[in-house]
Amino acid sequence: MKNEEKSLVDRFIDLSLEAFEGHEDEFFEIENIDKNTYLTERLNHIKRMRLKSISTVKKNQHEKQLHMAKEQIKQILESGDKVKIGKLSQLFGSNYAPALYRNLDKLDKHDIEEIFHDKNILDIIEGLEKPDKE
Amino acid sequence: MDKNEQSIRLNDVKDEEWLKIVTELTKWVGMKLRFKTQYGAHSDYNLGGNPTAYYVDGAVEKLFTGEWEWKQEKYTLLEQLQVIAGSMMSENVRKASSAKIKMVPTETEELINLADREDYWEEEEEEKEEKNRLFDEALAACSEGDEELSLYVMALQASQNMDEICTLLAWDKRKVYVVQRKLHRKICNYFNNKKE
Repeated sequence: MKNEEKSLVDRFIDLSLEAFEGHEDEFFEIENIDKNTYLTERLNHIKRMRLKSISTVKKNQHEKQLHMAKEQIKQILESGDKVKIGKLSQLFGSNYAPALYRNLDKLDKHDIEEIFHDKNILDIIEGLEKPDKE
Repeated sequence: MDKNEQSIRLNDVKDEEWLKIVTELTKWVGMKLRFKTQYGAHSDYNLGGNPTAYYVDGAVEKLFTGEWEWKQEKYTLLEQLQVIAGSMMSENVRKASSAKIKMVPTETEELINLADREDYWEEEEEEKEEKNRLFDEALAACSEGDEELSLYVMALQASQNMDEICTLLAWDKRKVYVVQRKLHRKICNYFNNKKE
């Protein structure tokens, strides 16, 4: 907003913001706020938000990777390529590959997570993306 | 910027930087609350705690959860938080004002609602005028008997910005800052005493 359109109150606030630059202690004192306690509380709130947000980001990335891995496995199984299916067996152990083949479409997120349980999804995706050695 | 990207950017902001931002945001929110919207909607009772902290924490939260997008091409982090806090304040004023409006359920409901809306805007304008009047009163009361402050208030009313005030009074910026802080303190005390 141009200053010409601002009310006297708004202009006063702008001037105060400028005048209190570098005089934060005086501002907190006028507002009757204990600066250290107040800022510690705000920073703690930010830290809590940060933790929540990190966990959400990780969860989203994990779900994205699960989806990618599932799609790649599906493509390999549908291709019928024995070499690639053999690679799947290597990655998951031979017991899992037939189960994946039969049930992939029926498996929900939790089932897929169960299959990937002790494996690094990124390693699996990388393993599946590696060019085949004939 | 998608939510994940926004979270990553926010998580990259260091604590020292957050402290500076929160301090500036607190000053901005504190002044808005004190001089513009100190009644009803923003009372401790209505918000369930310290109003300044309520808006500062709320703005930060809305950005972290992705409820609000950080428009980085347009705003710095501080500016974006000010936009969010300002919007929260307006929303609370709107809620408090609309709670006053009684809807009359009749066949001509639409027309009556329209009339209510006009009343609402008129009321808002009236409130603005009332707040400006109270602020003028505060300026007059706080500068009374103090030659320097009286002069400053006259310059304040006649000028649009800091440079104009400096020119009009032939003062340097440092002097203006000192007098502005003095006046600010007096006005805060004035409103505090009025509340009691």
